[in-house]
Amino acid sequence: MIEYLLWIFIGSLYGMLIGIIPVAGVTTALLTVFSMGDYFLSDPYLGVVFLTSIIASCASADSYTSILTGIPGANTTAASIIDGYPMSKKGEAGRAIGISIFDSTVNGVLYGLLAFALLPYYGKVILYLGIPEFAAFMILSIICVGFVISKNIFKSLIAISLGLFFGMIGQEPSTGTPRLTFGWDYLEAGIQIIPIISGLFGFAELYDGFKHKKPNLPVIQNYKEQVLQGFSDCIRNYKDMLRGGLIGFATGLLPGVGGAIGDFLAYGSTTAKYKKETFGNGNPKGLLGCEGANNAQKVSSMIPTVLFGIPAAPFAAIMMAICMYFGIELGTPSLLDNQQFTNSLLIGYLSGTILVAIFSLLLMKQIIKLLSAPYWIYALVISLVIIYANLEYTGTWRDIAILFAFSIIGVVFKKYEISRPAVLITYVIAERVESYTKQSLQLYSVEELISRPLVIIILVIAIGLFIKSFKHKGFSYT
Amino acid sequence: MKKFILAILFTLFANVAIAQYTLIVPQGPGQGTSVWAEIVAKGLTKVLKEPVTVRHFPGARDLPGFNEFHNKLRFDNKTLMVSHGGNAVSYLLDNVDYNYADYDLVGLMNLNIVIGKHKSLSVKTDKIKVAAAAGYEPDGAAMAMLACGPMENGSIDLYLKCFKERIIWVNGLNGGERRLGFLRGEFNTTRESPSAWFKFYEGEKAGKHNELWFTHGVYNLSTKQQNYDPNFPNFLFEAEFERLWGVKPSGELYEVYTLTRRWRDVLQKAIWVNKGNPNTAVLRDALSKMLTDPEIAELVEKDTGKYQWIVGGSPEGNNVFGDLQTLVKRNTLNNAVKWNREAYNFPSIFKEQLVQ
Repeated sequence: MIEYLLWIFIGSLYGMLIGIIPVAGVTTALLTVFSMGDYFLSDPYLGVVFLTSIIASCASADSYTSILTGIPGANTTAASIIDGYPMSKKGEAGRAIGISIFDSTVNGVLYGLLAFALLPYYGKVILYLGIPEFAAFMILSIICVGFVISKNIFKSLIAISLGLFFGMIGQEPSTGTPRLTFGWDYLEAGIQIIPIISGLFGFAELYDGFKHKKPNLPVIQNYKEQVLQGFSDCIRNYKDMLRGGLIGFATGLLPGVGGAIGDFLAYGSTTAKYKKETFGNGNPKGLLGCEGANNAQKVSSMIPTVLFGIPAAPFAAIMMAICMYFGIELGTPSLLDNQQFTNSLLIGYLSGTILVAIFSLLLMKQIIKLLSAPYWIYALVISLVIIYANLEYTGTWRDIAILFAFSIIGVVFKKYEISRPAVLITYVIAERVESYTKQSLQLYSVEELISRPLVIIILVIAIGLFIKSFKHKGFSYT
Repeated sequence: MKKFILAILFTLFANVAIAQYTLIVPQGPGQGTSVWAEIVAKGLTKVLKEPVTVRHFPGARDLPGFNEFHNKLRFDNKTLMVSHGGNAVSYLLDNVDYNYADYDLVGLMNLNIVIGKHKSLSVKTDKIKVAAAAGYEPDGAAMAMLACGPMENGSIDLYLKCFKERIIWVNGLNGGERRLGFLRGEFNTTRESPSAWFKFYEGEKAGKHNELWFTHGVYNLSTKQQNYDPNFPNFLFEAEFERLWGVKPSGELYEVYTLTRRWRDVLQKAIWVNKGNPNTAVLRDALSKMLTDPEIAELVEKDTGKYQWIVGGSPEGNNVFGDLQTLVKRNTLNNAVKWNREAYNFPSIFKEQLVQ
């Protein structure tokens, strides 16, 4: 019990620390603890508690950087900058932090309880789905992540094609013969997920951090009064706050989508509601409308991850990889019957959400001091830990070569705004789409397949979404 | 930025320069043997009082890992190789550089494999739907014999025809997907490690619909007999065949089955070093001490089930290479290749040097 409390404490504190580093979010936080996977072999549930407390606390702390510096704490808190940073510049940083703490905690706890209360029922639902439904669902995920949330169809096609290509490197699933390895046996087990995430997200974001000028940090006066004012803003506008959480929760549920759109959708819904008000110059309603979306989205993102093994966001992909390391295979519905597993998810998430609020209230002065440290120090420490995590694989130059290649891809794709989540998520599910399709054809006749209503419904939705996106956005190269 | 790059380069160099015991696992992190190796590494670290780490060299049929070990890493006296039952298939693959005759055994864990089925499955008449993977060769042969019954001379050709009619062999599912498919009825059989069987299907968890079908039993390295597994005392392939068909299994396919089963029995899960490695005795001694550590023993048992360890250098562990070779005959090897290629679409080749 004491060990659990200790790891929750460590996870929450660590998640908060990484969260406040500019541009380093939950994905980076989890990448840096990848090497610890084997520590939890003797008690995997301890590992689950640790990871979820990191996710919860990092999701909250990301916002502080956005609010205080105008640099996104992570891409999922970019919307918080729009009104949060102007509030800081106006001398209302404490109030903005108060909104952030209250909003993140309430939405995190509320939607956390909702998601976990429903977990045991998902397992029953999934027994009615077969391999053909899974195949259709994976295709829908690719359409969602590639086309629905993307602004540019051409760039989406590049992202999806590359994701499929990377995912198909390795072995042909039914015969095990090597393919697309170019004679390099290292690739016969496929490209590993850690270098892909480290390169596409970890290093690309760290590199991006060098571009930001050193922020002018606000001096917070009357901290306590301002924080309480922020709390009272939230209570007064509780409907906006909860609506933001609900939007975040819903986007997190969509396989492959739970990335950076929840907070912007939530922000958009607030501005749409208050058409007569001005936003973008420090309106507290703008901040509280989107702030909790990030927390709710994180928790609901775990549902498709645990249930189908489809990561709803990059952080969920790495969570899958770490859990695999200590023997818990996410995407295995029988896990939902495992009370200890679901309890660990719930306890870790709720504790992380609550503890980070307490830490933030007590340690805001220290957080601001940390933010004033030179960026290269954070970047260096995180880079070294990420490299170490990548060397966990074979420990040879080959791991570093792959990491290097994906870092370049990450930087280029970030610059040209080619969806990196689309590459990652398509990569994760590429082989499964292929094998599910082949397995469906082995197990079922065509007549049997077309008589499964859910398969048809999902595929019709997928095709409809694709056509609608294509018509709406057109096909532009820029 | 300069300081930043220099520090990264230093870390890379430092990581490569630290000498420590390394267990090479021919799988990616999180797979069955990797988790087992992590536990063993933890135990050996405790006994040796120096770090033992795990390095993963996954790849098709584990070849990259073993080839890397054989051609390069085995000459480092602190590098050990981990094999598992799935490595048996590489006996019949091309591009295999390695040879167990070149290695000494540090220790092996004498494990078993369990096959379960739906209670409603009528083995003699229904189609048998199997979620398969590499390393399932003995399982498929056993299922074909049970489903098709005795054939004239146990003919491989007759069994192949029957296999194609009666068994739907579906590749490419991971453990979770396989279990889910079994639970919801897409597959009517499942294949598990003993610990997974206990975890998912034993007692009440088996429910009304599932039951243990057969196991391959445990190979006794002293008596050279295939015995009942004490964890599953009433289940052995041979006994199930006799119960179902009234005669003992025999013939060409049975010989293929016993050969591939033997390969797997000896390789799962074992730790090897290069022949003449000066640390062999230290490692065997450390392994023996590790096995008496209750914490590690409990972890291993939780991971794989309660099974006997054979430490290299002991009477049983002295001639494991001989155990791998005793059932190899030209005709059996030919039939194994044919069976692998035609039943499983598995790219096997005949190797003359194995017979010699």
